[in-house]
Amino acid sequence: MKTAQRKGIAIPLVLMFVFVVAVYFFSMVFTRTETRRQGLSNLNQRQAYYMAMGGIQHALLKIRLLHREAYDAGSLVRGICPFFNPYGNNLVATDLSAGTKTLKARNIFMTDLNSGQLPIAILNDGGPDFSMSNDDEFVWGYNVTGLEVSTYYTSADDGSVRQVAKVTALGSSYDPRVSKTGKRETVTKSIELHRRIQ
Amino acid sequence: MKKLRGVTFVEIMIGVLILGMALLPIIKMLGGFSSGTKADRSEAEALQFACDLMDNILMKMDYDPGAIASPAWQIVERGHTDIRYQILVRPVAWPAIIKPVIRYHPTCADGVEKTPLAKLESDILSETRDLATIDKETVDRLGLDASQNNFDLCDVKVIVDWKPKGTADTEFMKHPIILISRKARL
Repeated sequence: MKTAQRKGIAIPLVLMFVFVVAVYFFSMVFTRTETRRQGLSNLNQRQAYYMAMGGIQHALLKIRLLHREAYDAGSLVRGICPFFNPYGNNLVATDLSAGTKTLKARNIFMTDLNSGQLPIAILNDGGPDFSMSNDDEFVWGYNVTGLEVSTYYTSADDGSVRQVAKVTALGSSYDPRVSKTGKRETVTKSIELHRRIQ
Repeated sequence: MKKLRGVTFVEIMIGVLILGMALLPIIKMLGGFSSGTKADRSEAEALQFACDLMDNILMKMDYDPGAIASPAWQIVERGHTDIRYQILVRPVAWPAIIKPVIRYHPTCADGVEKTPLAKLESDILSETRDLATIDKETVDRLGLDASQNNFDLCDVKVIVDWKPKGTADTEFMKHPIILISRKARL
């Protein structure tokens, strides 16, 4: 009777052991796979992020070069006359419901703010081990997608009209070592534009 | 009794043998998991290092392609990781630049634009100019020092190669991290 009991408990014990070990290993494999996937996704996201940052740098440089044009374009987006002289205590109106707004100047300003006009030149530098290529859908590059004026005010310091604008760039990357598909990432940066009277 | 003990001993030996055979691949797999986890940790550290490097180049360093570039491998240690990195830089020439030109119209009282939309949009033109012309106009208009007024762009490629600390150098070049961006003289 006793012997039979011992034999009976062996199989459930072994099965339980096998089950516990299997669960343990399955969870380890799953965790490892998931960690690896997240790591690669993070890398892919970073690559797209820095492409978008490149777009922001390009936009900031163009705004530095053509700050008056950027201000004018931003003014018209908000319905402010770009030729309005804020000096002599002329405060700019805050109610712009009656104003004429147009995106045309802004769209012209943004026309060449993309890597299609100015392709990324460094993709293949560093030799074949570090060479990057483009996919049909995803290319290494950026597109400045927005120049929105979020608010404006008359500065108490010098009486100039200032605009707080947001520049948005969409970056994309494609690294086949990391993922079969590319990644896109958006970056927004706030800047201040103001009218300089010359 | 003696017979029973003998059987038990043989059973234990067989059990140990079976357990040993089962444990061998298990231990091997555990070792694989362990080295994989170390590699993941090192890759995360290397990625963080690459991001720090790129952030520093874009946000803090002056625009100087010669000073930014580091084409030979530089070796550093970070946390549990051996890292070597290169920074490649390539200046980018601006093509013609498109800019809006707004024909002058009388300013509106209180700053609100009241020109009819059709008229306003017909007064907004697109003009394409080369950088040198715009640059010169800006310099002349603002009275800037021309030598300080360069509007330059360059492409930057950061290559970070890594391996877990204590492993052989052959572990390099398995998954190098590559980040690419564009820096402007701001």
